[in-house]
Amino acid sequence: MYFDERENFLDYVGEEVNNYIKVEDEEHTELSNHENYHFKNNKIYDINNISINNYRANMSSDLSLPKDALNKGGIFKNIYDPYKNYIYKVVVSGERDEMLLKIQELTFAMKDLGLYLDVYPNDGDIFDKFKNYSKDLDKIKKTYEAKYGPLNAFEIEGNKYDWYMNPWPWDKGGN
Amino acid sequence: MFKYEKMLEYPVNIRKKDLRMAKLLMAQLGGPDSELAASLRYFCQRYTMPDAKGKALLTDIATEEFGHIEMIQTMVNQLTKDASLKELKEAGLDTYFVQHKKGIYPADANGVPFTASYFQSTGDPIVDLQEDMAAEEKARATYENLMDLTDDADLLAPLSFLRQREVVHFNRFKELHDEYKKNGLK
Repeated sequence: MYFDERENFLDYVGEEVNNYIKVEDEEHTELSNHENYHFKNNKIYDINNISINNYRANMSSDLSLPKDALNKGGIFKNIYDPYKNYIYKVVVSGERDEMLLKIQELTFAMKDLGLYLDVYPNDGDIFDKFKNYSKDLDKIKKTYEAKYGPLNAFEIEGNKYDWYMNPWPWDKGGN
Repeated sequence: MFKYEKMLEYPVNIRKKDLRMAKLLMAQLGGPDSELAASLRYFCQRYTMPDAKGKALLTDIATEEFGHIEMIQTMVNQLTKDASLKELKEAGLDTYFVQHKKGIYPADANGVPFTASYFQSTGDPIVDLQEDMAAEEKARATYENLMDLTDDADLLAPLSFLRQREVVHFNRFKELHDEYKKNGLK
């Protein structure tokens, strides 16, 4: 996507591309039609009745990659519980948007692992993942901010104050 | 304190103007089970959580919910920004326009303003966590209703993301709740 700073108020020039690609969710074919969604609700209540000890079994080996985690809305496969049998994959084009998406993916992976660690702070495997993603995120954020401006008001990677500049996240090209 | 990250938690890029969906999405901005109610609820309740885990989890989920408010606001903004007065009128949004124009205001799908009476902060961690679990489930149900009401992938993608977040938050609250119960908290 391309954002034109001079024409920032309403117009934006860009190629028409799909923002999201709809793909079949092969693990959840039972949700293929609307009538079946009651089964999904039953499943939710089953999950809720699992005790904490059972719940933690195999947890650390059961993670999605950050990219899939963002597409699905969660990194832990065992609590992924879709409404319909499809997943929307976020599609972007251009270096800026690709880098920003990578940042969003890693930030989201850390966010979701963080919520888990709040409840299970002694899970070393998950904490190691959390640390690794943190390093990756720092690195890519620095590269992005040097090129496209800060994501955080206190970060200075360039030589002028460009925090205030468009696009903001709700603008075209801003997220 | 808070530091703002200049990005959405999940990308929102809606190309098709849809005023009917904009009106319906208001349910999750300023309605009883909205993201705004969720975030304020957890922010208020965290002070009386009995241990560090509770304080951390409520703080972190409340913070994420603020990011969800921003996503819903972005969706409503993108859906309405190019609308003409005539189109707003036809979609039943003239009653909104008369007070707010195209401003983003926390009201529900029927224009009822947000109120703090949508949530509680009882000072009792078990009671509060049970409210939190219910809140996540109500929001999940609302997202499913919204997903049934549109065919636009640009809307369905962020809605299905937000719906799954409710499922994840529910599970985390439930785990903490069960642990507190197990440790004898009444």
